[in-house]
Amino acid sequence: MASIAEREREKYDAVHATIESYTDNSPLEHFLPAFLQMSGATGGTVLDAGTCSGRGALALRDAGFNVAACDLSDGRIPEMKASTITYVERCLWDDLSPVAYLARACDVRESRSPFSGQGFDYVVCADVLEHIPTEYVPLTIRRLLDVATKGVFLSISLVRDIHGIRVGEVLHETVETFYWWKERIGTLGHIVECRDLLATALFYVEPRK
Amino acid sequence: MLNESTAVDEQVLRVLDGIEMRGHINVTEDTILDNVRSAIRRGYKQVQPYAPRPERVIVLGGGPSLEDPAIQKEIRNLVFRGAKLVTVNGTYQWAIERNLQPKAHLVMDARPVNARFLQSDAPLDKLQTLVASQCAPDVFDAIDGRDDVWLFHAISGDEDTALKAILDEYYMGQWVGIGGGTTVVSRAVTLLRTLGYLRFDLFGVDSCWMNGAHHAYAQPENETDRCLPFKVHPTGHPELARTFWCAPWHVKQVEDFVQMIRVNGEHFLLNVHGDGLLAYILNSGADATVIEQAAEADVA
Repeated sequence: MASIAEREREKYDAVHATIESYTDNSPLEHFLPAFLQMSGATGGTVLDAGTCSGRGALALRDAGFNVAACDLSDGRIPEMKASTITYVERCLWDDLSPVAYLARACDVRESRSPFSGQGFDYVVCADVLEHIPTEYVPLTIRRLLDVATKGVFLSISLVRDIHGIRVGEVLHETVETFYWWKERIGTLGHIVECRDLLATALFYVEPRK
Repeated sequence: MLNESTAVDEQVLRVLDGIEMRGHINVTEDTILDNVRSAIRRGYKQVQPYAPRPERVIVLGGGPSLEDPAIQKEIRNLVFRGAKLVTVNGTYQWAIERNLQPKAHLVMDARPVNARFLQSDAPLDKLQTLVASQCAPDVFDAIDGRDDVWLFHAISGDEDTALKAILDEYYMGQWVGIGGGTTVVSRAVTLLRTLGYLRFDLFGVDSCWMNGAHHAYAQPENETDRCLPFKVHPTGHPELARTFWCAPWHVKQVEDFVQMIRVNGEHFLLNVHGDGLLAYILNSGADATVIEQAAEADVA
């Protein structure tokens, strides 16, 4: 019997194979100014958790960050595949420290790698948490916070998805209110700032020491 | 629609006859902008449009007719029949003292003194608090820790102002302005309509002095208001004229309501209870009413 993670991977493999336009837009690209503003970050190491097309990871790299990326299903565009950004296939509710290790181990800069191998300065997770089955949401947030030394930036869609119908699936499995997310995230980390953008919620969260 | 400015014939907006209204807001524009910058960073949910809802809504203004036992009975009957009670400013405490539990409370004024309207010993777990982003930090300090706080922006969506620029930058253009009149009650109707409510019963929205009082409870800020006579009658029917004693802001509120009804009246149902100026105008036909006052009026 397939595990939940395997089932989710199959679903997104089907999405990437069926819906060409799925990777056209990158929420992280769109929300990059908000990440910079809310975190005050000007550089450092970043994990793009749930990178999908990788457009957001490329935008982070272009903004001066050292980027690694992971996702459950590979939907990367050719430019991302051709880049030197380390990509690891990983379920987000699993321990993400192997991603941190691989980011350093696979870095072509070898001993000059900015990655510590222990974690990342920042973790960004853009329009991903709403795709996580509700039962796994707290664990996923915990995993993201565990590998961030400075903070985690989250953008979360608060509305139903428009693509799932084309593969007979619900893609946004956790559609909740701004305050629902705020309560759960605030339980696990220290919310430095949050913004309700009506259809999307933005959070910048620091791990509790 | 409701929160958007649309080109409207000047004649439609003409409510006051022979009166020049000159006014100023009660805080500086810089204060409002500072308040907004502070409020939006407090992490509250924004008000946004919702689908129509069938529930009847009572909006409780603070006018003197609230002290009328017959009015109180009407309010109680509607609440017991399931109407949602929405209070503004001091009417929250007024309702609590009469064993009426508001479902929502709304504050819009930018002055710090309005924080007193948010202080309560009553249980707040079922109360939705609707606060304008222009409210002072003291107001937000007074509601710190409440669960169900919603922020609204008292601005028309297409106004090109410094306020719009602040909201656009912070919310990346994702915000909804709540248009409407100059007073909290007139703005409340637009706000609640945005939230989906269609049917409103207004109590204590007299827009005039009654029995020598401007409010049903002490409101020191209005003690120095000027009290002027206003003659009102439907156009062409001077025999139906009545005289009401009003502060300039009362008259401005009436103008706001009549304009709102003329422009957006097809979007909601409004029943104004009591025997005040606003009720008389709506009962005699808002489209055919002229207010006359020979003197020039200042709007505070």
